[in-house]
Amino acid sequence: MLQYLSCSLKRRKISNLITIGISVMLVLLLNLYFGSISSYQRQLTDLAQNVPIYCQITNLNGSMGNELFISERILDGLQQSDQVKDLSYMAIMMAGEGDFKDAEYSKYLNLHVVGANRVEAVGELTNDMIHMGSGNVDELLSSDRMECLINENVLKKRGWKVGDKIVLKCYYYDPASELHKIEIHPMGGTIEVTIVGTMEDILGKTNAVATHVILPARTMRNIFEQSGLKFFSDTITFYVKDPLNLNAFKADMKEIGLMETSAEAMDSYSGRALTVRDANFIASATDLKHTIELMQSFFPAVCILVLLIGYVVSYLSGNSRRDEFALLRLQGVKKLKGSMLFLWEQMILVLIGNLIGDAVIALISPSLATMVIVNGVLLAAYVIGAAAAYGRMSRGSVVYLLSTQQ
Amino acid sequence: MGKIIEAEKVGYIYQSKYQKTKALTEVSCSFEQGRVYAITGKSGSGKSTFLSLLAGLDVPTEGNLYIDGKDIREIDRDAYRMNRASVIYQAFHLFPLLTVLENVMFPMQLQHISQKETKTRAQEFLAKVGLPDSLYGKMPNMISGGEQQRVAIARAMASGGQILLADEPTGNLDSQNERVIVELLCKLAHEENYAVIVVTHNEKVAEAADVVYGMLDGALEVVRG
Repeated sequence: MLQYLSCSLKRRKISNLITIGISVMLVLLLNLYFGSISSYQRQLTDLAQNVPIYCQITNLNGSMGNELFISERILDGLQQSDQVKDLSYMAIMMAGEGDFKDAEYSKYLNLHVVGANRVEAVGELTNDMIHMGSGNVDELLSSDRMECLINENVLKKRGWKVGDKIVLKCYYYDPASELHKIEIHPMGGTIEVTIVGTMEDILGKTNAVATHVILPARTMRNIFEQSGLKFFSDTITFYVKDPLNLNAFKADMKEIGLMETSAEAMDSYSGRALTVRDANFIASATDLKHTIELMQSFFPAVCILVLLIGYVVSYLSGNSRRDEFALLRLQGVKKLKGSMLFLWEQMILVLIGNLIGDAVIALISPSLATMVIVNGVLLAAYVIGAAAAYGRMSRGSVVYLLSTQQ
Repeated sequence: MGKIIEAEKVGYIYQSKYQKTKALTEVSCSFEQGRVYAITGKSGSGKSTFLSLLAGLDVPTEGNLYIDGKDIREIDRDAYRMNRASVIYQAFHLFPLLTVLENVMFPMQLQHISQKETKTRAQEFLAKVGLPDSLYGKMPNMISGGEQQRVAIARAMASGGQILLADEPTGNLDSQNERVIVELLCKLAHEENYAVIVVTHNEKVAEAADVVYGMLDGALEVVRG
C-alpha cells in the first residue's frame, strides 16, 4: 500500500498541486486572519506603553498641578498602591546659607530647595543636565543621604565646589496660610549637606521655576519630621500601571482619598483631586477592542468556511477516485484500509501545503502561536472533511461502481 | 475433481428505496478447478449479479453459496478476493496510476511478498500472457484494449488464487484479441488448473467453454456440460 501511496503522490501531479495550492492559500488567509487578531491584541497590550495614562494630583477645580500642599497620607497611599507606576513627587522649601538670624531672613533667604524622588519630578530637568561628581543621580534621589545637587550658576557665584559641605537654614511654606497669602516659617536649626553634583540652570531653557538646590525627597521628608512638621508634597505625578484595568485603578484612588476634579470648586492650594489624562488611551483602546471583537465574531464563520473547503476538496478528490477505491476493494483491500489510504494521502498533501504556507509566513512575519493555531484548525478541518467524504465514498457499492464504468 | 464453489438455491433481491427487484431465483450449480464455465444470457438476466456473488462482492439474500465448503457469509470476503478469486471485467479496470508491471505486482504486494520476488513473478505472469517487456513500464492508457485485458489476466494470476471470474472479458476487443484472450482463459483452466467462470454474450467464448450455463430471468439452467 505504501508503494501505491507513493505512486499516487508522484503521478497525480495536477490534482495534488491543486490540493497543495489550496492548502497554501488557506494557511496564508488564516494567518492573515489570526495574525490580524493577535496584532490588534498586541497593540492593545502595548497601548499601556505606547499611550501611557498620565495622572497628576491637582487642586479640586483642577486649575493647579504644582505649588500645592499634598498630604503625606495621599503620598503614602500612592507609594503603596499597586495600581501606580513611575511615581514622581517633589516638595519645596526655601533656605539661606549659614545660621543667620530669623530677623535677617530677607537678606539670606535666597535659595529655592527642592526635594525630589526622581529627576523627572523637577520641572523639565533631564538626566543630561546633571553632572555628578561621583555616583549615580537616580541612586542619590532615591536615597535619604544628606547630599545635594547645586545649580551650577549658584555654585560658581558662591564659590562652592563639588565635595563641599554647606550649612543651610531652612524655611517651610505654611499650609495653613490663607489663599494667595503664602507664609514661610523657619524650621528651626540648620542642616549640613554635601554637594555631590551640579545641574544646569533650567531657567531660561524651560518654563520651569528656578531650582537652586536639589535634595533627595526622603532626606527632605526626614528634615520635616525632625523639625516636628508635617510633610507636604508640592507636585505628584505618576502613570497608571495597568491601563487595561482602569476601574480597579479608579477604585484604589478613591480609597486613598483622591477626588474627581470639579470646575465649580473654589480655588485652593490643597492637592486632593486626581486628574487622569486617559481620553486618548480610552479612545484607542475602545477602537482596538471593537476591531478585535469584530474580527473574533467572524471566527465561527472562518471555521465553517475552512471546514467546508476541507470537506469539498476532500470530497471532490474522493469522488474522482471512486473507481480507484472500487478497484482496491476488488483486490481485497478492506474499506477502512482503502479509506485510510486516501485520507493519509490527503493529509500528506495538506501538510506539504501547510509547510509551504508556514515557510512563506515565517519569512513575512513569524509567529509560532499563530502558526500552531492555523495548522491545527486547517488539519482538523481537512481531517473532518476528508473523513466524512471518504466515509461516504466507502459506503458505495463496488459492483455498482465497476458496472457503471463498463 | 472437487467442487470449489457450490450454489444452493441462491436468490438475490435488489432492494432500493422504492422497489424490490428479484435478480436471481433458486440458482443451483457448482464449479470445479481445471474447467472453463460460461454463463450466457440476455442483458439483465442476472449473470453479472451472480458473478458478483461468486466474487464475494455481495452475499445471496436467499439460499447458500459455499466457497471451499464454507458459507460465503461466514468467510472474510476481502481475504477471499485477495488470495483466492480474481475478477476481470470488460472495462479492464487496471489501476490508472500504476504501470503495467506495477499493476501486476499490486496483488502480491498486498500479500506482503518481498519486492524483489514480486517483481520477478510479475514479469513471469506478463510473459505468460504474452505481453512484450517493452510495455512493462507503460501506463495502462498507453496500451491497447487487448493488451490491457492481458495485463488484467496477469494481475488475476498474480493473486495466486485459482478462481478466475470474468465479466464479458472480450466485450471491448476486436476478433483477434478476443481469440487471444479466450485461448488464455482456456490455457489457465486446462494447464494451470484454474476454475474459470466467464459471463458472456459472445458465442465464441461460450463455444470454447467446457460447461455452458444459460441464465434467463434470474434462473440458471445447464445448456451444455
